[in-house]
Amino acid sequence: MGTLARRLAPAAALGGLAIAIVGLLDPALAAGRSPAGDDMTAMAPTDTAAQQGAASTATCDTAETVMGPIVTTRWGPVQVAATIAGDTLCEAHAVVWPTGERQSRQISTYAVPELDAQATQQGVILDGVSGATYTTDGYRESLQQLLDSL
Amino acid sequence: MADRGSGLRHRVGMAIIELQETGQGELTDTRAATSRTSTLAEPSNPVTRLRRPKRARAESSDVTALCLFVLVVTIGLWWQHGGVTAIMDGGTDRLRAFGQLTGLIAALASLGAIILTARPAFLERAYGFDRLLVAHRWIGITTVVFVVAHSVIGTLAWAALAQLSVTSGLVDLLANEAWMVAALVSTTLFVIIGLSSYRRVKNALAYETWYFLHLTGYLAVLLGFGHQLTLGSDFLVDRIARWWWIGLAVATLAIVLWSRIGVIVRSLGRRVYVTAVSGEATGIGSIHVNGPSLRRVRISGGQFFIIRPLAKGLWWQAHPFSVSAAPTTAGIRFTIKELGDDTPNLLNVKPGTRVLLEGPYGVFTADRAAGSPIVLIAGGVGIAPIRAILEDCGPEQQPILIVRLRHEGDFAHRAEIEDLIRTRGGQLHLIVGPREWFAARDPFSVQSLTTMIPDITGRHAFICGPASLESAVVKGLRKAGMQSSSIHLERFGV
Repeated sequence: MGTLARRLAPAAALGGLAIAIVGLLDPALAAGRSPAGDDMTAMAPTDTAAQQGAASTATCDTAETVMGPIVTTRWGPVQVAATIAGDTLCEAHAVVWPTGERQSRQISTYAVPELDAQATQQGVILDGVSGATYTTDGYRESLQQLLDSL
Repeated sequence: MADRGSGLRHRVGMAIIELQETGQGELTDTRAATSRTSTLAEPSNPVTRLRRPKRARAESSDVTALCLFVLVVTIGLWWQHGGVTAIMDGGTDRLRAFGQLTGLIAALASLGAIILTARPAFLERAYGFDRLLVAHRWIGITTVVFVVAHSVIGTLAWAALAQLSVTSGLVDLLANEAWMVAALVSTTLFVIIGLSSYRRVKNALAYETWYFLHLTGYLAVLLGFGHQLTLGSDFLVDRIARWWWIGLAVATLAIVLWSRIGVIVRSLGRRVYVTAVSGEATGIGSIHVNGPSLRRVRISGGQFFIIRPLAKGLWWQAHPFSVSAAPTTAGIRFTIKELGDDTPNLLNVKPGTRVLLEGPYGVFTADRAAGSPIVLIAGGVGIAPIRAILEDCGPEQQPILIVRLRHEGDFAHRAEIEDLIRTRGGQLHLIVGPREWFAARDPFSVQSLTTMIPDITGRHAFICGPASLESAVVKGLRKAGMQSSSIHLERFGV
């Protein structure tokens, strides 16, 4: 091994190891491969008004509102209400969300409207909001149970 | 007289090249040839001095104001989001507020450290490379300390809020939160970089081993950025804060790319070759370089370049070398000390070798005395930039030169320096001998300094040498009543 290679080796090994660890283990990058992601796609997708197009949105005028169960997350309870027309999800919105302490309140103020919008657009398989992992999980679960109960 | 002196040397340089090209004699040890022994050939163009650098582009007060602005806005956002209230209220919120504050400071410090080490021209011209590196060291230490503090406090806060044990809190963070594994890896890298820069460890490592390890700092900053946006509640909630933070990162990236890639492009564009290598004193030699594009370089005596010879086994090593004579269109001379490293010796580089020059750097130049009388103090090979500054000053500055050497044979460029002193009506004081000789009577005590420099308070001092000499001299000069604004140092290890 030449002098250059000998002196470059520790840094190259360290940098390579760092990138490998992050690439393999970090939830941000591993999410696409994780079993949790597969579970989500395995769930029966519920049609949303947006997916079904304009034809079905007319029925949303006569939709009924259904409440999901309260799901307790680490940062507090989450409960979702949804307006349903037949088997179409017209709109979802949280009625209870974590407000326990300062950070939860702060996060909820931006995460909850975003989750509402995503759920209305995408149904249960919503993208989720980064930085609000637990609230996202609670939201998904409450909505899933709500749809299951129909 | 001085200009004829430097022109003379460069003509010798060309003569050596001619010898090699015609094959009249392989000059294997050009170090044996001193500048004054060969016959001279007339140059085709008149030799003129290269232009001097433009004035500093940034005032230090501007830079301080900008740093304060960034700090105040960032801490202000945290304050506005309730940071101070949380600390006052206590409980688990206090822990998290501290975690956020240490994180913000760590991130700002890490950006500051990479800006300093990118040495953008607007900072280098104002402060000098050496002071930027000193600042980089301190801000780097700040970064490591705050990164570690933030990691510990942040984990404790998360565990407390989630009502978990510290270990399960940490596992929970790593397993469930985006970019937290990256953040932990980033912390580890910062700690390794910090430890490897601890003087004793650094001295035990080869320079390049340490340098390449240090480069992983860019990766550390990058890996730490993700969790700031996905988990940092200051930037999740407040859109303005989020853009402010992204803006800071983008601005840093722009400065780093601009000044680092700009430097590479500029040095690749300069065609510069070694014209001669000569011996000057025990273990000290000169490398002369020239090339068509050198004429456009703006440079002062006392500045330095980072040199990378494009020769087998040398190209990946870069070394800072001081310009030791007034730079002219006939070329630039660097005076260097043989490296005690196990690397190939730079003084064995063959004439005709292309070199990449990065620079010039440094604000160790005669114009900082603004025409006032000066005293120059050199130790060992520190004589190189001091010799160039001496050449740049006039007789009205009544130069006094103090040279500290272990052996008289270590005095590089002695004849030239004696000439320069004579033509300027200056004085030369030699302090020769091993350190033990001066244990009893410090050569830089107030008494000895005022004996050598009677009008000490009216002068500007330029000091270059080993760190121990520089600190001893500064101490003596300050005690003798010289203002610190009149003391100029080149702290870069020469």
